[in-house]
This record gives sequence, structure tokens and C-alpha cells, in this order.
Amino acid sequence: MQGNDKFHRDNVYRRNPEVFGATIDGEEVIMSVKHGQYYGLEGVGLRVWELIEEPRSFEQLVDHIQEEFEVDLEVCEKDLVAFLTEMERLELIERG
Amino acid sequence: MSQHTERRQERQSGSAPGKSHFYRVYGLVVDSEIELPELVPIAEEPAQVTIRYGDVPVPRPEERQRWYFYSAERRELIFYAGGVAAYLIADGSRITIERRLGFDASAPPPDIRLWLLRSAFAALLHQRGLLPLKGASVSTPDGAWVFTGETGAGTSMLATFLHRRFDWLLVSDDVSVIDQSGARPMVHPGPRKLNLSPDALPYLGIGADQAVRDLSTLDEAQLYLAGDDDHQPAVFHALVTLDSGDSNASPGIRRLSGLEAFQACLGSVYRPSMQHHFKLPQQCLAELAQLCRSVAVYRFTRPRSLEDFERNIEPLVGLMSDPGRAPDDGQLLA
Repeated sequence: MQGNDKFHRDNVYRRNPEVFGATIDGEEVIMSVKHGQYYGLEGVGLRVWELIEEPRSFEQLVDHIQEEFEVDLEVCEKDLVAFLTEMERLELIERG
Repeated sequence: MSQHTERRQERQSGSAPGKSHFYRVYGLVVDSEIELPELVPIAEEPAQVTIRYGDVPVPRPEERQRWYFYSAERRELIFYAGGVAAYLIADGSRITIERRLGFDASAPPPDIRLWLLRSAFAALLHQRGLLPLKGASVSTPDGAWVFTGETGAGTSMLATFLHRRFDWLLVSDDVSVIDQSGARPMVHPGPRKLNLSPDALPYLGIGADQAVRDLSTLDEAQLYLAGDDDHQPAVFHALVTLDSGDSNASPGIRRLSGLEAFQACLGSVYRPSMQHHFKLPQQCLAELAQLCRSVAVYRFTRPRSLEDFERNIEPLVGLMSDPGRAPDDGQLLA
């Protein structure tokens, strides 16, 4: 949890309401209206996207992902921080 | 009508003013003041689209930098085809054409029709909620295959070859129009005209004397198809993006899925900037996602050269002849 001064463990994340998605072949295609860009989510990223349909804290997300994917806690937290930071940079999600 | 509007008294249609000609194209009945030999003539019936000569507002100076102008207030789209005419498209049902002073009065009717059947109809189709895709299509016993790609990718050449070799019906060239309002997406027949590269004519066994050139700025040969058959729409089976490689590229076809399939569909939309005027972004997304879920999407790579053309398209022909050979997602069929 170092190297990112914007990140805090008590952050709550949710989808940007101006981002729309559609499922195609098990992959979620999401669109940023603001940037006119499309992104694809699958696997763990898709699961996080599903979870943050409702606002979720970082801790809640870690609990869900670690349980569902049987991943080591440290790896889970590290990957989740990287994913959420990137999604936030792309304005696909926001903090609640 | 706007006070900015100038009037041009002279009509240059080659048709008697006020006389109606009835056609069917893209599943729509068209009542046109202008004769349109590219379309299938039909007996008079209630029309969904009318085409008339009339007044089109003159662009303000600041608007003249753009090739078209959209009025959200009136849900109208106007564009100015340089040197040919101005087109006003309204309500998904009316196209007005004006050849005012300032346009080249000697521009022949085929040039007016070229812009009419491409960009003006694209706007009208988007207004109506239909989905025009840039590309040619043929119909096999299993349904319609739409070929899309960058300009020069050879979509018309491929569709024409398949039509002539296998007698698969040529559904449309240039633009293939999709209607997703029913249980299955349908491809509606387009104009009965082909736009081919002059290089392709000898290979297809078409004499240069059979083709015409409509616009001096377009290096294309226009070929009118024989027959006035009023074809039925075909079930949309597959979208194929043509990806030309270098002369050493090995031909192969790969099925796309997820985001890749979506982006192929997205990239095939004809005049997408017009689409965005008439549909919300989420509607565009939903429309294309629905299409991706309904049809198979492929990327077909083969050498750009016409040399060994027939051998190079074998993977595609094999798949079209026997869809049971369809590769799994991501797998290459060579």
C-alpha cells in the first residue's frame, strides 16, 4: 500500500454513473461517455466491476476477491490497488 | 424557410418536376422526384421516404468549415457536397436537395445521386434508428455475410467475386443496412450498383466499357447490376473485417469475441458521427452489443495483392460454404 498518496484503505468505490456497459461473450464492454473510449473487463476485473455496482469499501472488495479467487492477501491487495487506481485514472469509477 | 435561404429557380434533375418515381431500398419505399436508376423500381405505394428538390438553408460563414451541420432543435441534418448540391435530411423521412448558385451547375445527375445514396441516406437511416455498416454483403443459404474494412480493403471486390463465382446474391455494396427491430438482425438490400477499383475489373472479367465514373475525384468504377428484382432482406449471419497484410502474409480467418468483436462492429458503422446526433451513447453501445451477440464476427487477413486472390480467400470461402467449420473464439482457420 505504498507509492500512491491518493489511496487509502477506507476508500469507498463505485461506478461512474456516466459509464455504460454491455456483456458480450462473457466480457463486459464498458464505455466512457466523457472520453469516448471503450474498455473490456473479464476475470477478476469484471468481478470487481460487478461488485461496485453498489458502493464498496476497499476492505469489502478485498474480502470478496480473496474468498472467491483464493488468492494470497498481499497479492490481492496489491493487484486491487493497481486496478482501482487505473480505473479511477480513466474516470470509469469514482470514490463514494 | 430561413431568411438566409437563396433560391435557385432552375431545376436540373433530368426528371419532370413533381413527377414521382417509386423505389425500394434498405427496406424502405422511396417516393422520389429524381429518377434513381440505382434502385429497384416498384409500383406506387405509401412511401416512408420522399426525395424532392427544394430550398436548403445556406450555411453561415462559421459553418462552412464543416462538411455538415446538425440542428438539434429541428433534428435536421444538412450537408454540402462540394460543388454538387446541398442536402437537408429531416425526420428520417424527407430529403431535400438544392443546387443553388455557387454549386457547379454542370455537375451531372449521377454525382447528385452518389451523395444522395451515400451520405444523405446514411443520415436518414441513423435518424430512423437503423444501423448502416460500411461494407458490402452477400447472401448465402446460411444468411448474409457483411464485409467491412478500411477504404481500399477490397470489400466490393470480394463481394462481387463471390457473387459471380458462387451465385450468392449481392445484397448491398458500400453500405449494408441492419434492422435489429425483429427477433433476428436483417440485412436490407441496397442500391443495385457496385463501386469497384479499376484494377479489379480485368480480374473480375468486367470490361471497362461496362463501368462508368460518376465523380472525377473518386478513383472508382461504377457498375450497374442487371435485373430489377425486388429482393427480400436476409438474416445477418456474420460480419467479416478485411485486414490486408503484405504480400507474404498468410491468409487466415479468426473469430473475434468480447471487446475485439465489439470494436470490429463499432469500426464498421457508416458515418458514426451522424449516428451520435440521433442516439444516446448508451443506445449506440446497446445497439452494437446486441449485434455482437447475434452474429459471428471474424477478422480475415490475406495479402493485399490481387495475385493469387482466389487461393488467398480459400479460408473464407471454406467457412462460408460450410459454417460448421467455424473456428472457436480466437482460433485461426487457415
